[in-house]
Amino acid sequence: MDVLKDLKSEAKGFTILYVEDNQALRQNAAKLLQKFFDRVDVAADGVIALEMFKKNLYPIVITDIKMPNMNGFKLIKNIKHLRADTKILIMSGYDKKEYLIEAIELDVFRYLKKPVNLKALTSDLYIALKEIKEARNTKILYANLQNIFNYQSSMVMMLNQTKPVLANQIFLDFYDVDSLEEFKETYRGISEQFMEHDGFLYDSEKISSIDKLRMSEKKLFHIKMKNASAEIKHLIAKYQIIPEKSGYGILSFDDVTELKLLKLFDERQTDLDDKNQDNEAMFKLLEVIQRNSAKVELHNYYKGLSITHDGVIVEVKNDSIVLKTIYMQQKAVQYEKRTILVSEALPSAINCSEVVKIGFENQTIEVKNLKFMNSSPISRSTIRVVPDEKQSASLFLSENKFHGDIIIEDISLDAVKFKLNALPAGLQSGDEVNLDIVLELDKKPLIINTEATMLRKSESRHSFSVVFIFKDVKKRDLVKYITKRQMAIIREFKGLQNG
Amino acid sequence: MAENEKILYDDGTHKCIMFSFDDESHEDSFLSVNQYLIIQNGVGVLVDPGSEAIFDELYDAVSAHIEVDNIKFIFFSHQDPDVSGSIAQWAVSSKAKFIMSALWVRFMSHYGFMEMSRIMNLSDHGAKLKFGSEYLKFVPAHFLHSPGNFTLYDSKSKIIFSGDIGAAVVNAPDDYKHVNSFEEHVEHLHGFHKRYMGSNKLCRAWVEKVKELDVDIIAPQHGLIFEDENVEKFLDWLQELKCGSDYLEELY
Repeated sequence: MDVLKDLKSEAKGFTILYVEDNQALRQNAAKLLQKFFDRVDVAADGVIALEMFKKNLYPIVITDIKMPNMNGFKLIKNIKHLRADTKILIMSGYDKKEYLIEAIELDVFRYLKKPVNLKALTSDLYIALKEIKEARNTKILYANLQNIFNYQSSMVMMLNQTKPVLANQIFLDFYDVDSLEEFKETYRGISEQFMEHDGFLYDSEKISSIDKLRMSEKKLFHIKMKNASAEIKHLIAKYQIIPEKSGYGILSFDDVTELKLLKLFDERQTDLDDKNQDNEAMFKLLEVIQRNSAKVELHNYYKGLSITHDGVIVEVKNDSIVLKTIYMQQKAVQYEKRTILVSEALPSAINCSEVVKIGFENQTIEVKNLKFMNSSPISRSTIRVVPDEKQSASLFLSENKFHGDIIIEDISLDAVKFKLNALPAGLQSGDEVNLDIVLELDKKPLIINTEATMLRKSESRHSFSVVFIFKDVKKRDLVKYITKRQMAIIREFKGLQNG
Repeated sequence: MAENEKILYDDGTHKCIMFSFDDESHEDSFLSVNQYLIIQNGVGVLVDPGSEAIFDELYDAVSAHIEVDNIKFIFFSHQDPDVSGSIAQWAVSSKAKFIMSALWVRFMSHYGFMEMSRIMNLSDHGAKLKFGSEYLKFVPAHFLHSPGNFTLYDSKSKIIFSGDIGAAVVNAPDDYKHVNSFEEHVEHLHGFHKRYMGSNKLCRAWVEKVKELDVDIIAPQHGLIFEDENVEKFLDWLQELKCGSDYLEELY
């Protein structure tokens, strides 16, 4: 913290009285204080000082103790009678016990021993000024709170222009912080906390939420914010100008989460929020698994081949996790990025779609983009393999041959997945088609000619994946093909481990 | 009834079938191989389905009794190719879970099988699968002969599927492969058991466990089944058998 700079900004608009009988010291100190305060008044003894105080009622006074005419303690007593909240700093060459006790009894703000350290003085002045301002703001705030509905259980924040200057305990509790300073350090601003939701107030490129609130005094706005426990809360916000203090206003938030209205405003966003909440819960759960050093199963598919081994979570980061596993699984992750995590401690399998890093030197993998899966592909009961390049396929839709490119993505005993460069016109789920598939088994063509039903399609950038369920295929040769192909893929994968 | 199969038990809801499909390449050595199917209330458990070479025939034979999709478990007494060599084929063509000793799980990739999530591995003490008041019990038979070895007892049919225990190198009839005279059969048992089984101590441990059970039939994976008084005769014989490490000096 740049204390001098901060003091300068904090002392703006303030007048200070400095009382010292030593002329040289008085002049030097006054010079220094003038650098910060708008006005610095000086006095050579207690009597003069008291006269000056009666006229100006200074918020802050620095005084010596041993002075002619009226000593420091007497002066302080008089000052406290006139204005109890004036902050008094004593600067004295003596620090006798009796002096210190008397200073405490007189509610002196600080007792500084001469020669005074400049750093200590500026820092004490800064704190004194802060306290003065906060006390003033609190007074204003509470004087105005009566106008706010339900203010005893609402979150309340006082703003100077757009800057938060004070917040009540309910607000601090919401964010689990001890002070407004801590809130600002951790969360930056208040409007940054307003979350996107249809019909709600949140920061947009055009206008900041705070400006909008300040422009629409006493209007009610719906706000969505997350509290310190990351729970999403629905609040009604209102801004109210403080009449006697220009630029100041009170922002209040009334928690209406219990009414469960979020979905009515924006169903899609609420669903998304629920998912994100699940995501946070997921990371918490992963931390529990990590703390207990519990095993998780890692699953990858290499050309349809299931590769699975145990692993342990070694680190849970913000949006990724680091796992330790064996080399073979690391290789599977390297070739088939998508990794599935399974553990009895998890409500469903987790799909990790991105690999951050594979640490072959310390047997780790770091994965991110974690999502709970609705269905668990690891409990698959049908084996699918990616055929080799010796393949061709034709697709007939009520006698019409599809003329686009077809690649067989995978095949099982029950179904086949085609990758098409275009989607045949009118092809829909449930449609019946004819398939001609030619594979190679033991150097002879294996021809599969069957009726099939389209199950589902999915679209990627330049292609479509379509799954067809076979109506009637001769299983015997296809079993042979799939098991042989599986063996070949196992060999291929084991070969990769040496490379 | 088809050749190569024999119904060992059938009470209308529970059925045990013995199949005898040999790998043709082994026909000369009379290593007659048996596979078993247990059907309980329409749900199938296949026992030691054998090598890849007999898969097609066994698949068809099994299908005559039960929809392959209704086979819920396939049990392998141990890891040998004539027991579990067809695991990949069964994995592709069924939806079954595979039960075997935890010791052999990672070796299954050599048979082209990688679906580890479909494996229920057995720890050394075995396990019990209940159906109603009846159960299937995986009885440990380690080192008889495989280090991770289990036999399967079916409490309903009172059959113990004993894997290589009780196996005989014998030219067996196709229709009803059962021991007529234990005394005559012993010579076909002895050579194999002496060399393949771990030790007398291990034999005794298994016999002790089996004698706790109510057993009507011992059904090995090779050779002939033991019924009636031959069950006890075989168990008594095995209990006293010196084998494996008991003949350490002959091996070195």
